[in-house]
Amino acid sequence: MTIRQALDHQTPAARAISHSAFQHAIRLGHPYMGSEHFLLALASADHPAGAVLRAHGVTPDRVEDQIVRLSGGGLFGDLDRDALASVGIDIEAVVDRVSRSLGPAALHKASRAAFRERRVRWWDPRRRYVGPGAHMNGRFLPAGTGMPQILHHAHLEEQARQDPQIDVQHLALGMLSVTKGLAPAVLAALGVSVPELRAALADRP
Amino acid sequence: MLTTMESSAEIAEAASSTDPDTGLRAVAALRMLTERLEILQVDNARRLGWSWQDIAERLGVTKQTVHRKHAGRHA
Repeated sequence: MTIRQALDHQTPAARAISHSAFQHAIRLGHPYMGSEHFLLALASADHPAGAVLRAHGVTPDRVEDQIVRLSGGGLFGDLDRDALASVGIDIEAVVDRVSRSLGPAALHKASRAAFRERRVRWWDPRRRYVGPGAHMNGRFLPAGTGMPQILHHAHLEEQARQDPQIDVQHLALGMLSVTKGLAPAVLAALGVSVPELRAALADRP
Repeated sequence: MLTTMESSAEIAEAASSTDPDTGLRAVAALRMLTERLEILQVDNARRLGWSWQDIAERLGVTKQTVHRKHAGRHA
């Protein structure tokens, strides 16, 4: 199932989560959409699944603080953390150190600069491969690490329950299976027990 | 979060693996990391009043290269 199909196959409430994730990415100035933006959208959702997340300490404020810290103001948020770890680079340590020596404001500014360079003008006739991502209000955000994965896992949850469409609960459960992007790192930093959270989310009808 | 033991075991495994997928993805990720760090450090140097020549020397490239790559942001 492609991203396009998965996005078309959602209930209105789940679609609202995707939109909210997109807006969180724009608001934070991140040039990509990752699993962490879905986590932030789910944590702020006015939905039973959102309430379960908040009850387990996954509140919007705490999630956002961790996203800003771990992504280094957006500059390092879309890097493949596992690939870097495979050659011995702890990206979290790099970001913490750089952010301490140069200050979070410099990181955020550099992130904006990196974003500007990659912006594609709508009138530019050159064809280029943009890849998967999300389009909204004339803005395009490439799918960062983890976004295709969360939709895929949400689809699996939906199939396992034999539900007709992907709902918010499926997105929340799919989120917990995601290994890419910042969502797992954010949950770990918040000290959340994923199995407990999964059981609590699965309880809800 | 990985514990130190887990992560070092994993690193050893990745380093010894001959799977090109792991190695190539690591190279791509490293390149991205270097690009982001370059933006950050060049911006910082310019803020502190460094000349393009000085920056180019430290990066090991010509002045023209570093200017073409980064001057647009400071215009």
